[in-house]
This record gives sequence, structure tokens and C-alpha cells, in this order.
Amino acid sequence: LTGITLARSARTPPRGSDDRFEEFLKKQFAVLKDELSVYPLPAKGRVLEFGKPSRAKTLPAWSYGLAAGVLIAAALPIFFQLNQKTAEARQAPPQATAAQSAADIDRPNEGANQQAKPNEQNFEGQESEKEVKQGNPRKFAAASSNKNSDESSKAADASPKLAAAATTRDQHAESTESVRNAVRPDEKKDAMGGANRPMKDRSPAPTVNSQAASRFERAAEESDRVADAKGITTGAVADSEAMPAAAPRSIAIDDNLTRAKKKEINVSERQELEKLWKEYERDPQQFNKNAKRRARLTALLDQFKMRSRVARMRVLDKKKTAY
Amino acid sequence: MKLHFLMVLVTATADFFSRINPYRERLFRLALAQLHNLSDAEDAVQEALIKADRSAQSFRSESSEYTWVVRILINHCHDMQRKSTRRQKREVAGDVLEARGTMVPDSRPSAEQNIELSEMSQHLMEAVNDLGEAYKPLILMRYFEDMAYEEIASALQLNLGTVKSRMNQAKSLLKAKLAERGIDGDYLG
Repeated sequence: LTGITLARSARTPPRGSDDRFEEFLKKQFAVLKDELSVYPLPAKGRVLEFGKPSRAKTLPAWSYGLAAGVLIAAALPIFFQLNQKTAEARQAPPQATAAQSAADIDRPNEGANQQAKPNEQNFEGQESEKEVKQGNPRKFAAASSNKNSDESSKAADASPKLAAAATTRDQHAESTESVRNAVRPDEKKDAMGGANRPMKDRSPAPTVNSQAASRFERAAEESDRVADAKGITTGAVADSEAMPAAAPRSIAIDDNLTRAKKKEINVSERQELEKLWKEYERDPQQFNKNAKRRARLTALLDQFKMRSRVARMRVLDKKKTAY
Repeated sequence: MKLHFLMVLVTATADFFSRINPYRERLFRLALAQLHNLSDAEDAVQEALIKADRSAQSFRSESSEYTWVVRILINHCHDMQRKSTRRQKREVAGDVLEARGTMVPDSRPSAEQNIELSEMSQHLMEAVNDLGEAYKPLILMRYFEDMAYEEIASALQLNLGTVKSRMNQAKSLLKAKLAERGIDGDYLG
């Protein structure tokens, strides 16, 4: 009996044993496969459509290195060339300004000389004619102002528009003259009162006036020349002269000096901002009473793009209103 | 020399596909059993073969190419299932958004492509899919692909003993998973 039961148990594994489960799995997976076989296969070539393997995949690593090397070799000279060009472009404007500033330095001395020796003005005027021949453009402009006035009268005969231009030029000349007159009393006074005084005792104010006058004269002369040119070519000088403020002729050059100045301003503004912010944080209510300071602080915060602080200001202001 | 190497590589790749091509049907069935969607199964087979092609150089000839591709396909299907689970979670969130009036594109696979299986097979495959990355390949290779333990060991790069012990663990886990689904006692015979 025991042998028979053992044989039976060997054929049919007990319930819940591993062998039964193994059988169950085998059977069920077979059923599953049958069920899946009903579903059609994808059309031939739909699943497996492989192109030829690309060359890029099979390229060795050194070829990429080589390509990179070639690119760098081609790009480096261009880069250096561009760099050199930009450096040259940067250097060029400061040279021009340096020359200009040197000329400016010379001019006040001329003014001082005029102030110190007013009697020499005529002598210089005579000499200017000689310098024109030597090729000094500034002196030439001064000397040719008389000639310009003659030319303008001819232009006035030519057409009414040009006549208008001439009148405006005359007005301009008059204004220049008035400035000269405004300067002269000081010069006269200085010449009369300070003739016996030593140079050290003289006050610096007249010197500044004379500098300003000389600059103004120069500006006026230049504007005269421009007016002449416009009057001849377009005849619309009257309109342009009638404009209250002329556009600035000088172009802001971003040289090292201006950059340093900007940096300085930036630093000082930052310091101011920090100072104002500290004050604000100490007592926002008290700070807000001063509208100017408040406005300045907000402007500085905007300038430095401090959004977090602006947000904090809003919070603090709200708190204030809540209380 | 380099040209020769390239030629060898190209011919090797071409050979690989020509060798794998006869097993395409089996691979498709394996993917379909796991994903229950025709288009997903197609995609899975194609992507698994592309993966296999890319990593053909790392293939060790200890196992047959087919078993190696089977392993890649099972893992790829597992990844796809995980992604779909995440997508479903997102869609739940998307439904909430849609209810609020936001338009959410429908990224679900078309229901027409889903396959119908018997209840038992459905439960079985659900339980198998629940097994996880460690045990699922073992069960599928053993019972779906009828692979021997040695073949499984070489495909998964494991020792024979490890494969056997893991298979026991997998089976007991699968039993428990089926019991959770009400397949117990009488069903098992």
C-alpha cells in the first residue's frame, strides 16, 4: 500500500507543492502562448527596417580629435586678428582725445596771456595771418571770420533764404561780440587795476572767464563756418539756427578715463544706496517722510536691479499701513 | 587595416540582424505578453534590437545572441511599463487640470491595439509584471521561452546556483502574487 501511495504521490504532486505550481505555470504559459499566437505579426519589414550603419558610428576617436585640431588651427588666427583689430580700434580714440586735450591745455595759457597782456591782442591778430599761411586751422578760422562776413553779404544778395541765413549769422556774431564785451570789462579792470600787481595776487576767476570766452568764441566761429556751409548748400540755415538747442557734436568715447569715472560713480552710488537702505531699515516710517530720499532710494534700487529689496520695501510699507 | 576593420564591423552588424530576424516572431510575442498592446510590442522589439545593435560590441559570446536579445527586450518592456505607470499618474493630475479648464494632450496608446487574454492569463501576466526587475526575466525566460537554467545563467551572467535559488524565490513570490488575485488552491490543481 505504501508503495502504491508513494507511486501515486510521485505521479501527482501534493496540493500547493512546488511541483504542482511548476506544472501550473508551464500549462498556463502554454495557454498564454496559444492566445498570443492569434494576434497577427506586424507586416514584414515594419519592425525591422534597419538602414546601413552610419559611418559616424564607426569613426575612431582620433578622427574627432583631428577634426577639432583642424578647426582650432583655422579659428585661432582669425581670433587673434580680430582681437588685434579691436585693440587697435580701442587705442585710436584715446589718442585723438589726448591730442585734443593737449590743445585744450594750450588754449587757457593763451587766454591767460591775453588777460595778462591785453595790448598784445592786436599783435597776435597780426600774427594770426602769418600762422594761417603756416597752416594753423584754429587761427585760420579766427582770421577768416571777417572774410566770412563778406561772403555772407554776397550770399544775401543771391537769394532771400541766404539773406535770412546771413541775418542769423549776424545775430550770432553779435552774440559772440556781446560775450567778448562781457569778458572785456574784467580784462580792462584787470589791466587797469592789476597792472602793477604781481601775478600771484590775481584772482583765478577772470582766467576762467577768459577761458570760457575763448571757448565760446571758438564755438561761435565753428558754428559760423557750419552755418556758411549749410547756407550755401541747402539754404535752410535759418530754420536750424532757430532751434533752441543744437545737437551735441561730440561723441562720447568709451576710453579708459570715462570707464574709470563711471566705475567711480557706480561705487559712490552703491555706497549711497547702502547708506539709504540702512537708514530705511532702521526706521521705514521716518525715512518715508522724506519723499526725496525715498524716491532716491527707489531709483537706486531700480538702477542696481535689487528686486529682493524692492519686495522687502513693499512688505515693510504694507506692515506700516497694517499697523 | 582600418578599412578592413570597418568592413568587418559592417558585415558583423548586418550578420547580427540577419541572425536575429528569424526570432522576430518570438520576440514580438514575448513583448506582447508583457505589454498587452500591439503597437507597444512592435516598438519595444524594434527599440530592443536597436539597443542590442548599439551594444553589440559589449556582447560576450558566452550566451547565444537570442538569449541576450531576450534579456534586453524584457528589461526594455519593464522600462516601458514603468514609464506608462508614471504617465498614468501624470494623467490623473492632468484630469484634474482638465477639470479646471486646461487642455491636456492624450498620450495613451490607442485602445484598439490592446489585446484580449483569458482571465487566468491576464492575472498571470499581471502577477509576473509585478515581480520586479530581479525575478521577472527569470520566470519569462524559464516558462515563456522554455530556456534551460544554464542558458538563463549565461544570458543574465549569473552563476547556475544563483539562478536556481532566485528562481525558487521568484516562484514563491509569484505564488503569493497570484494568491492575492484569488488564484489559489483549486486553481493550482
